[in-house]
Amino acid sequence: MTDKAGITVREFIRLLDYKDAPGESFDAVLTRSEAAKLVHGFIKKVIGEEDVDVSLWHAAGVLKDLYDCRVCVADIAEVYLKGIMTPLVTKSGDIVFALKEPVSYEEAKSIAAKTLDASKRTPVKAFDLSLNTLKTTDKETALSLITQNERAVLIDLRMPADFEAGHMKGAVNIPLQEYVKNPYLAGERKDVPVIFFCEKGYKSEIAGNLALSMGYKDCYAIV
Amino acid sequence: MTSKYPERPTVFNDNSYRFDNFDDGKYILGKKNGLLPAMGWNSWNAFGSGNTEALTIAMADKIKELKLDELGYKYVVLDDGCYKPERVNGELSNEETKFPHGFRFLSDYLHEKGLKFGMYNDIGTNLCAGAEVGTCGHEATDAASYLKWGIDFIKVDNCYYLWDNATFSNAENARYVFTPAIRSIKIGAYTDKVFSATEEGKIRGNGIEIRDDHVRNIGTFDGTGPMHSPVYLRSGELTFDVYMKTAGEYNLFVEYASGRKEGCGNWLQVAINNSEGTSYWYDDLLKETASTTEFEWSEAIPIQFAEGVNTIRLMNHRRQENTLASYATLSEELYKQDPGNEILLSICEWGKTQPQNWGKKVGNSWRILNDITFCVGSDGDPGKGNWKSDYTTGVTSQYNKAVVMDEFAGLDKGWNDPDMMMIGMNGLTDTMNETHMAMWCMLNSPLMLGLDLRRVEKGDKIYNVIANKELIALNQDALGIQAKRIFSTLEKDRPDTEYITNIDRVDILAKPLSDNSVALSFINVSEADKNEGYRTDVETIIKFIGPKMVNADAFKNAKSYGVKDLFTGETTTSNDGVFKVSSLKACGNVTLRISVND
Repeated sequence: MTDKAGITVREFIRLLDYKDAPGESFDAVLTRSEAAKLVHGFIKKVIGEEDVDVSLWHAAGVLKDLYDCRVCVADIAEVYLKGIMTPLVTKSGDIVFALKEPVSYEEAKSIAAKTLDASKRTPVKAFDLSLNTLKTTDKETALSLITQNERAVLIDLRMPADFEAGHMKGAVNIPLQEYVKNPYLAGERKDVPVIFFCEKGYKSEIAGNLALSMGYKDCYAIV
Repeated sequence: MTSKYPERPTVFNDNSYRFDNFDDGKYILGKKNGLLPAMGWNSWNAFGSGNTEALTIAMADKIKELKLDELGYKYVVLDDGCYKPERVNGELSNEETKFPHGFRFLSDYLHEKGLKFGMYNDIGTNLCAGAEVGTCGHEATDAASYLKWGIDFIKVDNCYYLWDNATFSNAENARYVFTPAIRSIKIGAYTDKVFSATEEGKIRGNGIEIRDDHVRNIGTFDGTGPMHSPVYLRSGELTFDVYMKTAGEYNLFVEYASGRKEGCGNWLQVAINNSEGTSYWYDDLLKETASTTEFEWSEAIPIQFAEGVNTIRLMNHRRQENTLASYATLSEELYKQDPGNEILLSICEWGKTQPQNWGKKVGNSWRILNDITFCVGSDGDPGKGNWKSDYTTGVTSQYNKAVVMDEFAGLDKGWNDPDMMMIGMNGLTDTMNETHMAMWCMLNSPLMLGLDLRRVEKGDKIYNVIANKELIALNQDALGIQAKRIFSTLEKDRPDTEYITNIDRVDILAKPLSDNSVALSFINVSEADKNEGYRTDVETIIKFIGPKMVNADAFKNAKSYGVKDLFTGETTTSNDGVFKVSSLKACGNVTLRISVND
């Protein structure tokens, strides 16, 4: 963890000039989730900003720890989507909000600046905020996606007999009628490439769009 | 402040908490049996951590005014947000601004009105919102407090839990609930033979990953999210069958590489199954290796083998066992201090440890997933609910999982808990509210209202949904059997056990009732009107729920059937034993009570 002492809740409230800020333990070191809560409360009640629509929260789903704290989800989604607080990337490549990490003085000043001046924020791009569209690709590109990213998933939607007769290297066989029942069969991670293959491309389109609707962000159909 | 936290997971002196005994029909001291799902009101969806004594009293008064208690809604439950952030002299204490008169005052107020009082705590060190008042290490003190306050119900969460990587717990706690990666074993009787995990080892259960020369992921999978079916065994074991010519004590050595993360830990359980039954020989941490890929041999683990075939089981069921032990500690303490207590236990670890397997030993209901909404209300704000979600935050997300879990529930077990109802929150239409209620009633879920009741008047739309006597009667039917899904447009063969998360479908559920009637629910899970016509018949109903009916033959041989629509009250007759609806509104349902006409 960090050697630098973090900013306290009281000092952060002062940076925002947040009169009547709610909460207790003002002398405690400010954690990132506590910062999100204060910032959200401030922009909503003091500045009067509208909340990001809940239907756009799926874009915050890249944060692996988004749902760790049920009281914090709304606050984290808000500060992340509006670009007031940025996520961290762990050693294993996961994107996290890191709720319990202390906030340093420098970070606190940066967060406060973005809170008070919307033009300093970098909101999650409009492209990310809308449901991604299904991308098309070919076999060669698909295979290189698989080799480059060991977490990428390649799903062959044909019947087992066709799959056994011959399939792309690294492909997993999930016949379309199975996939359609539970689109989460595409795997634990929704931020990795998920590629669908079938004979003509029709099944891949169905499966791909279904996967997108269940929150998988990087979906391809091989045509 | 002294730390009373234990330093290690519970040592098992007997086997009552063990995985192998989850289905032995025995209960932890204090478990209450034969009870139907609890009904009442919980503060969380309505007010979040903004609940107060004044609001609770207002809710109690509304329950009486609307006569909801006469319909069964009796438990008034204070969720998170009522304690001081730290213990006072080691005891739980009321937050004085929000609950100025303390908990006994509230308890007396509710009891005087014929209502019951519920509270909330956590098996970890802190509650989810951070207050360091979890019962861990304080069970005796807290049991005394709860008995003093006269509680009738307790909902217990698992944030900051010490013996697993639960929410806010140290992620490295995963080491307690997974074995290390295992490459091979040696046994003293076979001095020069190395048994390889991938060659001689046999996998039991699910979830284990086989790599080139070793095996990993030996433990129980996390069930908090919506990805996986709850129906099959959610854990795995690595086993070796060895033949012993002579009985005797021999040393077992395990070649392993340890870690501190999901899938690779350093806690090993060793059991032997043989002609003499099952015995346990190791249940502890192993010395950590340099990394998760550098294998080492363990010290000797002495084991008494029987003559003949012995199955060596290398496993780790501690994710389930530790959690059961922690809930049991609280239950046993309450029992010890007051054996006659009638406090219901609502297990709320979000399905993480697959509580449908063990919850029946100690609790009355178990949450099956993460929360149904994260946009809870406050005084003046109804909060927001969703019909669907790509995570757990939707009516359908919870329904999709609960609907295949009927075999885990029952009067002698407890109930699956798809979370508190969101009826009254923004984002749900009248139709969605009706179907939400019908689903929760058919699923034998606890019926916990989660709205500000001051917004409800007798006869208004919300009232008509939550006060639907016919639907409540299904949930509270004495037979105590959760509905089974007997048909789905997306699954031909096994509609009852197939886990389906695609909501573009129509389901039909059937529930046997104590007067030999059957409740049938036609549910349009999708967000589009469906006009294709849906039907089921007596034969299908008997095929799926016959064995659970009071008298399946009488049902099958009836001359005709009375068909009552539980929303409109309309009654018709079916002479051919076929029950159908021609169309279903988006998110809509038709729920019927089918009775035998002699």
